[in-house]
Amino acid sequence: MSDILLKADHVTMTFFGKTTLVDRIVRRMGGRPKKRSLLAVADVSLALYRGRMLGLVGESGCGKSTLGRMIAGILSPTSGSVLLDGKPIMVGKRKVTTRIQTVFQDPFASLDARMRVGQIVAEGPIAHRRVTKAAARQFVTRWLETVGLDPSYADRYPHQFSGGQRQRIAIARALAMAPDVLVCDEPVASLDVSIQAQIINLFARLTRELNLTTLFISHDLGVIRHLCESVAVMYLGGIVESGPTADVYSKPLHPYSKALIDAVPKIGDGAATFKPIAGEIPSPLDPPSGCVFHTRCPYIVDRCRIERPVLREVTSGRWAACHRIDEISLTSKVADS
Amino acid sequence: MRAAAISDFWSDFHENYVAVVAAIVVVVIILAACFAPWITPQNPYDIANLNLADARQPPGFVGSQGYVHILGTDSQGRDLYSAILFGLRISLEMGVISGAVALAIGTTLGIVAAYVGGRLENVIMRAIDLQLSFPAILLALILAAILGPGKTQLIVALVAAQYAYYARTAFGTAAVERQKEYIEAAAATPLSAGRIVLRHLLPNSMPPLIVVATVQIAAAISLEATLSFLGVGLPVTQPSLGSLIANGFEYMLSGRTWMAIYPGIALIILITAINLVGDQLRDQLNPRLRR
Amino acid sequence: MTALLEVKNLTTHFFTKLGVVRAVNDVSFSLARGEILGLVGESGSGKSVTGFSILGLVDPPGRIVSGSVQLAGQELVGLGDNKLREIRGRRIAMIFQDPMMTLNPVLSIGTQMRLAMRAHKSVSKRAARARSAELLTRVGISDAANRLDTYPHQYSGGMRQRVAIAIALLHQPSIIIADEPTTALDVSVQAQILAEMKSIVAELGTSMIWITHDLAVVAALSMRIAVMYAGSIVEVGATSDVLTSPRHPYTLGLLNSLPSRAPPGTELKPIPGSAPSALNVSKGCPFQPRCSMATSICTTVPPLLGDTQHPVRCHNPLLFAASDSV
Repeated sequence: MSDILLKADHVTMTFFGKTTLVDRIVRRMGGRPKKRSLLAVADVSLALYRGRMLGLVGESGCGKSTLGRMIAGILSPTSGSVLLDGKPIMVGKRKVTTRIQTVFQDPFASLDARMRVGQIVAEGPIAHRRVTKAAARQFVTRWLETVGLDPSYADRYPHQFSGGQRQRIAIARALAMAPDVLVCDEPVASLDVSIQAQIINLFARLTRELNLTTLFISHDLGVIRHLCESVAVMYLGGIVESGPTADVYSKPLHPYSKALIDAVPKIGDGAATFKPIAGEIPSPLDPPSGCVFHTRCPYIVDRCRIERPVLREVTSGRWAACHRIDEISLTSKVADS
Repeated sequence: MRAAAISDFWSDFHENYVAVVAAIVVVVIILAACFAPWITPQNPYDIANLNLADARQPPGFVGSQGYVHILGTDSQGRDLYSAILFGLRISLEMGVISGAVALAIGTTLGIVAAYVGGRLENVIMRAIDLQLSFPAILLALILAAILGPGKTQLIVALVAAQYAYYARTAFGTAAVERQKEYIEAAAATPLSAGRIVLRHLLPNSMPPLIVVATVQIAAAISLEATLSFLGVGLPVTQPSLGSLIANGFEYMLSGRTWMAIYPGIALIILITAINLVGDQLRDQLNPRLRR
Repeated sequence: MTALLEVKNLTTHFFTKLGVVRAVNDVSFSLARGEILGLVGESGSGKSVTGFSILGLVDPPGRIVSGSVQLAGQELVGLGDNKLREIRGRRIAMIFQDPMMTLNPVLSIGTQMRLAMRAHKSVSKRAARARSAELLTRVGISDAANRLDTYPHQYSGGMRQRVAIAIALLHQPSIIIADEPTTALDVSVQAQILAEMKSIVAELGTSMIWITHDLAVVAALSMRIAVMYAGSIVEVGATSDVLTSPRHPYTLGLLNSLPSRAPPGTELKPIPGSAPSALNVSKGCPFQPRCSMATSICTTVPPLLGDTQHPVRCHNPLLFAASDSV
C-alpha cells in the first residue's frame, strides 16, 4: 500500500470579478449587484499516492483544470493548501518546489514558438542549476530519446513539428526537471486518434519506468479507464465520486457518474449504445443550492435541494457525495468494454 | 531557421513593389545622410563657409566658391543641396535616437505593466492614457520651449512625446501573450519573473513593436521638423529641414520658392518612404501574429 | 433504390505557393434518402473538404479539379454561384464544428432565423417567428418563443449548436452535412444532440452526412460508414460490418487505437508513424508506409473493389473478424 505523496487539503478557488463603479452604486442604493465571483473549486480534498496515476474526469465548468493548476502550483488556492510530503508547495503566490511538473493540453500554445526545442527542454534545468550550459546538449539528447524523438530535433523550432511530436517535446520538458509528480491537463485531447494512442502508450511506459505519481485530467472516459487505476469524478466545482476506475465505471455510486458513463457512446459489437443525461450543466456563476447535481438528478429528494452532501468513504477506497448512496444501487448501462 | 525566415520574409515583402521602392528610397537617403560630408560641396554648418553674397540665389547659380548650387541657396548663403542633406542627417538622427530611447522606455513600462497586472498596471496605463490624450506636438513644444535649444534637449522632448505609443502597443501585445499557455508553462516550472519577462514575454511581443517603431520614427521626424519650423529645438546655426522650410517660407510669395520647396520635398519623401515600409511590415507581420 | 446524392470521382486540390495540396482524391460514395452516412477520418484525411466540395464552398486557391456530385440527378459541380445559392440552405444544409461560424454575434436568434428563411422564400415576420419557435422547440430549446430575441453570446456551446441545427432545418433540406458538430461539446451535451439528430432524421426523413474523427459517435449514429485516409475513401460499408469486420488495415489500426476497446493497462497497438502531408501524396497506396500488411503490389494505387456492400481500397484486404486481433 503506497503512501500519500501529495495532498490537496480543502482547497477552494474563487475567481473574483472586478466590482465596477456601477456595482458599488447599486449596492449603496440598497440593491444587489450582479454576482461576479466564480466559485471554480469548492472545498476539494484529494490525495495522490506515490507511483500511482489518478484520473480526474468531468465536463466543462467542473473545475478540473483549475484544481489541476492548483496542484501543479500555477494557481494559489483562495483557501486551503496543497502539500507535498506534508509541506506546502506555495509560499504566498509563489511555487517553491520543482518536484511537480505539468503537461498542458495544447501542444501548439504551450511551447514558446521562438525558442528552439533544445532550449525549451533545457531552460528549466539550466535556470535551476541542474545542468550546466556545456552539458545541456547531452542532457537534451537523453530526454528527447526518452520520449521517442530524434536528438537532432533539438535545433529545430516547434512549428516544424506535428501535434504529437510537440506533445512529446512538452513531456520531455516536464520530465527534464526530474519531477516526482506529473500533472497532465488533457494532454491527448487535441491529438488524432492514432497519435493519441502512441502518446497514451508513452505515458504508461514513462510513468511506470520513472515511478511517477500522476494526476491525469481528461474529459475522455476511455483514456482514463485505460491509464488510471483510480478516478475522481468532478461536477461543478466538487468531487462527487472517487475510487478504483474499474469499480467506478461498472458500479458507480453517484448518479452523475452513472449518467456520465452512460452518455458516452461505446462501440460494442458494431452498434453503439448511449443514454443522454437530461438538462444542461448549470452555469458555475450561479450554481444550484444544496447538492449541485439536484437539478438533473433522477433520484432527487427534498434534502438534496437544501443540504450539500459531503464526500465520504462509503466502502474502503470508494468515496461519494450523495445523500442517497445507501438507498440507490446503480449499475452503469455499459458495465464493461 | 533564420535563413528560411529571412527568405520567407523577403518573398512576401517583394510582392509589394511600392514597399520595395520605398525601402530602397529609405536606404538611399540613409546612405546619403551618412556620407553627407563627402558628397556635398559645402558644410552648411560652418559659418566661415558662408558668404552672404551668395544668398537667395536660384538653382543653377554659380557661387563665390566656384561650384554650381544645383538647388540654389538659402537666405544665409548656404548651398541648399548641402543644407538639405545635412538636414536629412539631423532629421534621421533625431528620429532614430528618440525612437530608440522611447522604444526602450515605453516597452519596459508596457511589458512590466502587463506582467505584474493589478494596481501597478492601473497606475502605469492610466498615466499612459492621460499622456496619449494630450496632443504630442503640444507636449513636445512645451518641453522644447522649457528645456531650451539643443540636440539633447530636443531628444528629451521627442522621447517624452513618443514613449506612450510604444508603451500602449507593448502593453496590448504583452497582455495577450501573458495569458498564453507557454507563459503559464514557464511560470509552472517555476521560472523567475525576470526570466519569463525577458526570455519569453519580450521576444514574443516584438513584432508589433517593430511596426510601431518604424511608423513612429517617421512621426518623430515629422515632429522634429514641426518644432524646428516653429523655431524651437535646434539652434539656428544647425538648421534641420524644418528650419530650412521656415526660413524659406518668407520668400515663397516673392518667387524664390526653391528655398522652402526643396527641403519640403525632401522631408515628404523621407516620411512617406518610411511610412510605406512600415505599412508593409505591419501587413506582413499581422497574419503571422494571428496564426 | 436511386441514391439521393451521388458523388463520383470527386477530386479537390488546393494550388498553394508551397505546392499542390491534394486534399480529396477520387472520392466516390452515394447517399440514399433518409440515410445517415458517417464520414470518418483523422485530421488531414480530406473529410471536411469533401463536405465543402459538395456544397461548392471551396475557395481559391482550392477548387474541384474533377468528378461529379449529383443531387437527385442534378449536377452540382460547375454550377454557377446563383444556382448553388438556391441549393445551399434549402436542399442541402450544413452544420459546422463551431456554431459561431453559423451565428452572427450581433443579431438576435429570431432575426437570424428570419433572415435565413427569407433567403429562399418570402415570409411574414409573424410566420417567421412561429416557425422559428417551433424549430427551436424541436431541437430541445425550452421556452423558445421568448428566446427569439436573445443573442448567441447568452448561450452555452451546446445551445448554440442546437440553434445552428434549427437554422439548418428551416427549409426542410433533403440533406444535412454536419462537419464535426459535437467535437467541441461536452460528453453529456453530445449525447443529447446525437439523440436529437437521430429522432429528427427518423421523423423528417432527412439524409445526413456526419463528418467526424470519433468512431464511437459514428457508430452511435450512422447506418453506413466511409473511412477516409489521405484524401481517399479506403473502406465503405454498413456500420456494424465495418466496425466488427474491418477490411482495411487502417480501419483496423484505428479501432486498435481506441483505449476503450483495449483491456485497461495493456499497451495499445497504434498505427506507427503519422499521416502523410497532403503536399506529397505518394505514388501507390497512401497507407503503404505505415501498413503492416504491405507487399510489393502496394506501390500501385489500389482501386475501390470488393462486393458492392462493403468495398475496400486495398490490395491485401483483411478477411478475418476484428475480434481476433484485439
